[in-house]
Order: sequence, then C-alpha cells, then structure tokens
Amino acid sequence: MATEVATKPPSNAADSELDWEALRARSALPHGFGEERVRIWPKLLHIDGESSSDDIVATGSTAPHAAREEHERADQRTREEQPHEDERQIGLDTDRSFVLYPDTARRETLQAGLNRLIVSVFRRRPRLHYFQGYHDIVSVLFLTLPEELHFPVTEKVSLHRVRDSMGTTLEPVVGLLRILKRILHLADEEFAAILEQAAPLPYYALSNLLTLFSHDVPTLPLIQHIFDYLLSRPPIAVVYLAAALTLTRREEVLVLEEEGEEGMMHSLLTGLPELYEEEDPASSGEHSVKTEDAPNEDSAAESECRQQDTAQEAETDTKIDGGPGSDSDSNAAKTPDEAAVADARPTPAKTRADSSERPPSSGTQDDGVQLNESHPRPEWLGTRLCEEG
Amino acid sequence: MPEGYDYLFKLLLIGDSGVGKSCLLLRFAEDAFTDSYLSTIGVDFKIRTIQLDGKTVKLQIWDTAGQERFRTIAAAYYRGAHGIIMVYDVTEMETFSNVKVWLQEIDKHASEGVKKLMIGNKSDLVERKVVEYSVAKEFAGSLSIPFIETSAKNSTNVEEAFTLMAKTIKDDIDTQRQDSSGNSKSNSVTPGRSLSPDDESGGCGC
Repeated sequence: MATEVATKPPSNAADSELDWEALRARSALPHGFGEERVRIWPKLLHIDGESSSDDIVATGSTAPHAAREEHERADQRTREEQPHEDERQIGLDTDRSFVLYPDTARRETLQAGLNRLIVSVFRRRPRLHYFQGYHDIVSVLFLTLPEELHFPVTEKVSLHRVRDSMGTTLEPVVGLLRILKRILHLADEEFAAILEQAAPLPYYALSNLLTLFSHDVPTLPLIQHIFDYLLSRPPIAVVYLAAALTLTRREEVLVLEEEGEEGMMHSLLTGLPELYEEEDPASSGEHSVKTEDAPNEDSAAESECRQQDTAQEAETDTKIDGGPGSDSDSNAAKTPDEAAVADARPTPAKTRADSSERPPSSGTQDDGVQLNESHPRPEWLGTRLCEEG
Repeated sequence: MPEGYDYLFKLLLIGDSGVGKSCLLLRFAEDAFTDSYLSTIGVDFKIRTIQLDGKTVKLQIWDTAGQERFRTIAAAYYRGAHGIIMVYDVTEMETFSNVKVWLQEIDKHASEGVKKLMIGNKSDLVERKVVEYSVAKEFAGSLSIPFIETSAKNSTNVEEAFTLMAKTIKDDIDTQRQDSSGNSKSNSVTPGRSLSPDDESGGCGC
C-alpha cells in the first residue's frame, strides 16, 4: 500500500494542489509558511474548506440516504450532549493555558474558548482519550487559525497526527521513545550510551513528542514554524526533530555527566536549546533563561544536525510498539526520508522570534532539506544524522 | 551551590492533577510562586541543598504529571527514590481520597523502605477547605506516615515539609548505619533500573 501511494499521489482535489516537496522545503526556511499557514495547514490535513470530515461524507451521499443521515445526525447530537469522561482534566489544563503567550488581558476568554473547542472535539469523538499537553497543541491551532477552522483542524490533528497519544494508555508513546533511543544510537553511539546511563529511555523528550513541541516552545511564531515543519511531514518526523535537538546538546550533557549530575541532565534536555529564526540576530540583548548552560555557540551551531534518514530498526519498532502508525492520510505517510532541522541552535540569547514576518531569503538555503519523494523505499534507511563541524 | 554534600536524597512528588505539586517544588527550590503555572507533562526535576543537623543535604526532586495516564511513566521514577511525597488539595475531597490510590502505586513500584510524607496543599484557601486537618492527620497516623498542611502560595510549611521528609530519610539512614557499621550508601535513583552500585558520590560522605 505504502509503495503505491508513494509512487502515485491520490487524485483528491485538495492533494493535487499541494506540492509537498516545495512545502517541506519552505517549512524549513526562516519563518516557514508565514501568514499563509492559515491556508496551508488545512490543506496539509486534507480539510476541504469549512466542512469537517463528517460533513464532507454527508454532502457526498445521495438522496436515498437522507433519512439515515438525519438519523445519524440526531444520534451525533445526542452524543455531543454527553459529557466526556476527561472533561474535568481538560478544565484543569485549559485553566492553565495561554501562560507563555499571548500577552493579553483576555486570557480567561481565550481559555474558555479553548475549553469549548477541546470539549466539543471529545464529545464528537468520545473514544479518544485526553492527555495533558493536548491542550498545548490545540492552543497553537486556536491562536493561529480563524474560528471556522478550529474544529475541523483540531479534529483532524487529533485523529491523524496525535492519535497514538490518545488511546487508553501512553504505551504507544513509550514506543516513540524507544524509536528516539534507537535513532540516537545510530547517530552517535557514545553519546547515546551516556544518555542511557542516566535513564533507560529518553523520558526528557516526552513532552516534545506528546505535544509536538507546543508545550516547550516559548513563543507562538516559533511553534507555528515548527508546526509548519511537522505538518508537512509524516507524524514520525517529530521523533527525528527531537533526536536532532538532543544531538545539539552533546557538549552540555558531557559536562553534566562528568559532574555526575544525571538529574540535571534531565533538566537540561527537558528544556529546549535556544531557538530563533535563522534570519533574526539571535543575540539581541535579551538574556538567556539559562545562561549558565550556554554552550559554545559556534561549535554547537556547526554541529547542528541538518538532515537525517530513518532507520529500519525504527520502522520495526513502529510495528512492534503500535507506535506512530496514526497517519491514515496518504500523502503525509509517503516518504519520511528527510527531516531537516531548521533554526534549532543553542545560543546564549533568549529565544527570539519576531512576529514580523520577513520573506524567506535565498541565502539560507543551506538548511539541507533533502526532499526525495521519488524514492518510495519504505525502509528509509541509513541514518545520516549529521555533524557538519 | 556547594560541590560537596554529606547526603544526597532523591525525592518524588506524586498526587492528582492540579493539587500544586509543581508549585510546591517551585516554592521550595526557587522561593517563587505563580498562579499561572504550566501543567507538568511527564516528569520535571529540580535541586536544592539544605542544612540539616549540621550536615549538607542535597535534594534531587522529581515532579510528576498528575494525570492517570502518566502513571506508567512516573512509575519508572519510583524505584530508588528515598522519599515519596504524596500531595492532595485541601479544597478537593477527591484528591484526598485518591491518596489511597497513590499509596498503592508506591507499594507497586517503590523500593522497600522508602519514606513517605503526605501533604495537604492550598491551606491558604481557608474558606474552600473541605478536607479537615484532623481527618487527614488521623488517616496518615493510621499508616504511620508524617503529615503536614502547606501553602505553596504563601509559603506556609513548605520548607518544613521538605525538611521533614529529608530528616525522616536521614534519621533512617543514620540508624541503619549505626546498626551495620556504616555500610548504607545513599544510592543513585535511575528511572527504571536498579540502584547503581558504583554511585559512590551519592553516598554519605563519611
């Protein structure tokens, strides 16, 4: 199935407009899709205009089914009046939302809106289970997209991008952690061994994987950019991104290892390195939140990982663990043979992300995004986690 | 922070979502409080060194997410913890009732001999309080677990709670040492694996 899909894109109207290669390349340039993401994200998620997935099915039906449809809709309405068992937890978390951004006096209004949105998705999809951190993902969608897209996009993201985290247990996510561990092994065995000594699984990356980095990235423009990157790639891309970020922390981790501070290692890795758009001068006078951790900027930047391939082992793990198999969408599941990491570098400066969008400059093309849709190798082999330095 | 320390204790904070585990830790480790604190996803970690009976005690404190589905992940951190602090919210009866469930988690995953402490947090919310001190005290007493009410918001008893936890552990270790001529080392807490035997640095420095 995968091979067929990979060689022949489906003729779906929404898909035919998408140039995945170009979008992936663009997602890795400074500022990603910029303001166009409002238009692009729904397309990447195969959302047709304003309709939600259910509505699309409904409009495509023929007249004799009208009565049954009406019946089904009535059923659905009833269902949507039934509270979901996770609503208390949802409330606890939406009450703690919009902490880092936006800077607004309307925080409570936003929280109420976010709560309504999340509750409506869970009532529509009662078999999904809420996880803490889901609200961070939805916060980004909520702040980025116009209201009419909130529901359909959140529903699609839930079903197709983060469903592995929404089952009865988090076991599939533990599977993702195992994949991450293996990727790190393939990329840098010595470093991976040190990490494993501190903890058998890379638990520090849990929130990155669960929340698609939305829990950890401190500004809206930066997390929007990361969503540009992730949504234009298969769901597993988040694991590669986490791996790439981990690899940028090598030197810092080695220092802590020498000091015997395995707990601090967790602390260090739970926090992201300083992130900024490549075009933005990183050190604009703001101080790092953790200046004492500031690594050697040059070497860290040099060793920034640009591109990785995937490992067969990881693929195996996927199956064993019931891991990242959540993408039922055809195109997105195609060839995850690239995952460039743009804009992730440890610097002594605080995260910098201007909301003033600037056009991508051609001078930054060294973000080696190798897009190779044409080779449908399901094994996406040969990890080349790079160290350019 | 001083390099040297006489004791290294590893503590774990558990309890229902929203009871204030992270706020307690923030207050204790950084003497700060915020009403708008982020939910904890997975596990967080902070460190603080205190003086106890003239000894330097380094506390490594792991803070866990409260939602039930994170329990399997948190379980990896139970083993090897010297002390586990169960937190409930004095304004939410259910969070107190669930302490029983958290105790079961400890029985299932923690090392034998782990020290426990029960904290009733948010004691500043006097008007909304529904869990009576006497009730909680009796419950804890019946299990021989020390109990204290705290307010991370106004700092009440936070220092005392962590100090109490540390002292309970230290006294236990000191007693053991007297019993067995000083061979009880404080061990490394590594999630999901047994105590690492070579972690001399974590031992009592005498």
